[in-house]
Amino acid sequence: MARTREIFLKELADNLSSKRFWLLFIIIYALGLFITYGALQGLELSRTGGEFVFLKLFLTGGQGFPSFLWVVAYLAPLLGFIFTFDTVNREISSGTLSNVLSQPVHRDSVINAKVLAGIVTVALTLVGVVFLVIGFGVLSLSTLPTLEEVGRILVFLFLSIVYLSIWVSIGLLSSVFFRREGTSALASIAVWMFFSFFFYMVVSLAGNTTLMLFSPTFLFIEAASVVLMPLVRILGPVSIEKLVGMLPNPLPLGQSLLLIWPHLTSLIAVTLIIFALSYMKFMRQEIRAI
Amino acid sequence: MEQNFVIETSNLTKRYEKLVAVDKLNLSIKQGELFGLLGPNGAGKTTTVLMLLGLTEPTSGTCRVCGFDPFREPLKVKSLSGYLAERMGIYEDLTAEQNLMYIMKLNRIPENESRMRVKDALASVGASDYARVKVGKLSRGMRQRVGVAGVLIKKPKIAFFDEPTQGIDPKGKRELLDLFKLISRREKTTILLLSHMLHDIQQICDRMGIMINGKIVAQGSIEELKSKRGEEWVIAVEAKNISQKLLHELSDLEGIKNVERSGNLVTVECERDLRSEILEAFVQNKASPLDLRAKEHSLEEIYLSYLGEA
Repeated sequence: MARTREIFLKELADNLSSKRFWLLFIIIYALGLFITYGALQGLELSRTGGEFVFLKLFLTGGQGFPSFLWVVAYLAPLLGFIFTFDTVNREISSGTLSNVLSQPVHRDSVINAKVLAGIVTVALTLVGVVFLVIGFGVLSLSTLPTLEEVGRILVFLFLSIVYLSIWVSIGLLSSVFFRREGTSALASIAVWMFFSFFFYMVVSLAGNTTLMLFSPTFLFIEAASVVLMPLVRILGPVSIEKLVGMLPNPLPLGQSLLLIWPHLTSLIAVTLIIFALSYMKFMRQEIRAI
Repeated sequence: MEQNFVIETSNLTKRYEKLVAVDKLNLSIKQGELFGLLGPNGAGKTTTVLMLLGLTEPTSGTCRVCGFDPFREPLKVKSLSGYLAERMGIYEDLTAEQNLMYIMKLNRIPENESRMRVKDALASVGASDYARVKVGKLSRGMRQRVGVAGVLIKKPKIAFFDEPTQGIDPKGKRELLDLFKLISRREKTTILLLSHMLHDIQQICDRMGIMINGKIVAQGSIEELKSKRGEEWVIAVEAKNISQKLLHELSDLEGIKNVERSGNLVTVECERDLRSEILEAFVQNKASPLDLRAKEHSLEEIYLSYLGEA
């Protein structure tokens, strides 16, 4: 792990001080506030209050506002790859990579540091915005979240970070595979659009809904819904036999976790596979600028 | 393997699919030497250095830097050597100072010492005034100096400079070359200077190699290189009343290889300095010489002749 820490700190500082971070930061925080506002309005309208009201802040939209979950699932991927889509090829074309690699550092330290910095940047942003939403909720609902709610929100946060890590590594992958920054940006955006919008069309054309499980976005939404809706007990096609004798009670957190365990492991596996691909490519890459 | 060579390659080869970038390169550079590697763009100079630093894997052959195999023990080689790439590779959105501090961190130099070294390095390249300016805002020449400082700051045993004088004005170039010479003399740093500018290398290098199409076609001290191509003289005489007889007589002189006439100008190629004999022949044949110029084979012509062969 020679010098990974130093490179990581530099990358993180670069990310956090970059213009694109602040741009997204403002957008996402503003969005977070709007959404909470919308969710609160929605809550008041339906007067469903009572149980798991803080979870509903993340789950419900209202009056034309999308839900927080929707934003994380469909818009936050941008946040994931915006820091990594040019992280390698830009350094190759500006020659800084060969400078860094001519210092006594291992090549893998560079790519490890880059992916870590990307994930940490995303995580910091998410943690910030989630706590902002909770704080906003506490202020307007004048009640505190229960321990169960806090636990579920933390699990949701973790799930979101894992989900966005996939997008961080997709950005990294395209920055390793494409020499031009424009191309790699387009490639990342194409993957994002595909899974966010076109995948549903493909699946409905194919007529097989189990295909949905190949979309990280779908996996994430399903898992996050289980975490945020303690009432969900079964995922996937439901048969009558399964429903017989089922109690409409909320599940404890541990049971919900069991339900999403496959989702969580697949999301992590996808991240690791994509990262491994970029790692292999990077280790054998010619680093000189053309 | 002898220890006094800090860089040694034997049959070092790098192939990119069909293209042979470096072809069976044999190069030995002594401790403290200032070696110039001259060659046109695409001759394989940079590829050679990348292999010496362990940044690119050789297709075949071996190389040793300070006794280490750069591909087996890259960290040892990299901490002993400094490399300034053609593109310099300094972060434009950081200041000169931040760039150098980052290099120090990557080299595990303690903070206090780093600060001292940054100061010294920037002072030695004459960039102290720009320490806190973002590199992107500096002129090309000043950036280059910061890049050089980034190499010096490591106090390397070997420094590789890839086209360091490109895009710098003549005065800055001169200063940079003098600086290289100074470092090589004072710190006993071995310097490998890659350039396609003969003039730069000629000015400061102890030895040089001419690299064309991945091969070193000639290497040695500048004098050696000159003598390798023979001590040929080319003498041009401008004269009036040039007769055919004179030309015949000139070609009959011993040691003359070729005589050519175009208008009032007679160009004679000879094996040694025959200026007086030639003049005598002119006078005897009643041709009145107006001007005589002797062209010694310059290194430039030697370089060009190698290029022409390739």
